[in-house]
Amino acid sequence: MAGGSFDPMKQFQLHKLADLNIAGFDLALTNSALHALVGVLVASALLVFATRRLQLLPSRWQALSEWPYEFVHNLAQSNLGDKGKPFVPFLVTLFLFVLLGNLIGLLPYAFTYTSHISVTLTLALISIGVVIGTGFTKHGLGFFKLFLPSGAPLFIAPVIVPIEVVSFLAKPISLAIRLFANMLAGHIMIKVFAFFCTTSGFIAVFPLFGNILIYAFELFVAFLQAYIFTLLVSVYLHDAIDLH
Amino acid sequence: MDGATLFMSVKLIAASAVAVLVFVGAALALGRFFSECASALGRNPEARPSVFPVMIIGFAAIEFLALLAFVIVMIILFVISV
Repeated sequence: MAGGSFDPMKQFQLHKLADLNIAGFDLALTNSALHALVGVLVASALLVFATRRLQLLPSRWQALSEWPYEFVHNLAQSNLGDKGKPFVPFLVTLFLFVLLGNLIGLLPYAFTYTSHISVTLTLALISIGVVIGTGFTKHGLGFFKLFLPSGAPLFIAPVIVPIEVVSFLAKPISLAIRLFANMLAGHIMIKVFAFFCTTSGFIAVFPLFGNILIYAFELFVAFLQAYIFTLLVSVYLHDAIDLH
Repeated sequence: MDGATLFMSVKLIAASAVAVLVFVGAALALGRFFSECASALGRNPEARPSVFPVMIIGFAAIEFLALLAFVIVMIILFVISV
């Protein structure tokens, strides 16, 4: 009976595939890093090879590679306006990396690199770094006006400034936790339903159908989370560019 | 009942209580939120492009609170031990 050895968390374990030590830092290639590399390679290959022979009337591959760019461009356009143009490549990179992480993780036996908080927190901190950098280069020290909404009377500043500071500091944490917990919860759910299929004999058809539905839902969530991540980063960028 | 079993049962009860309470809260929030969005869209269907991002951000905020509870449950179940 497989019951004793069933562990839905096993899929998230890291393994070392190749050792690499540089100046005392352990930079071993893990299964997470390997899948992240695959994600980056797939995205780069798609963008490089599909846009080799550009046509006015796009071929199928060109249309496929134009879709994420156009999607994120529209998103940035509606949130940031024309000031968002310089950030579109960054946002496309984020979108494709997160999306491919979620999608590759749905393949059987694959590892979901976005299900680890170390990966998602790194992405979130990079994004918030870009937001802070943008704010300081655009406004200098005036960026701190972000913490006091314009028009607010000065005497409530002692109350509102700490609240705004905390809510700003919570942004990267909420970005990271949302993505990682979504992936973790979804994949645990898939594995638990798959386990029901193996143990419930001939009525296994029902958990099987349930699993198919959950799988479809996870496919939707993979896109939704990539979209939310990009959308929230562009909203934060908007706060940094225009202050509020 | 020895100490380890008692600890295990308390752990399980706490984890399921957190999960169920947050489930109720998230269900109420989602129902309220999407009904408001639906009525906004019903009153003014042309506002769809501007309502949609707000809808996604609100959904993300609700989801974040529920997922925070998920993380707490995971910590109760897998990290805390005697």
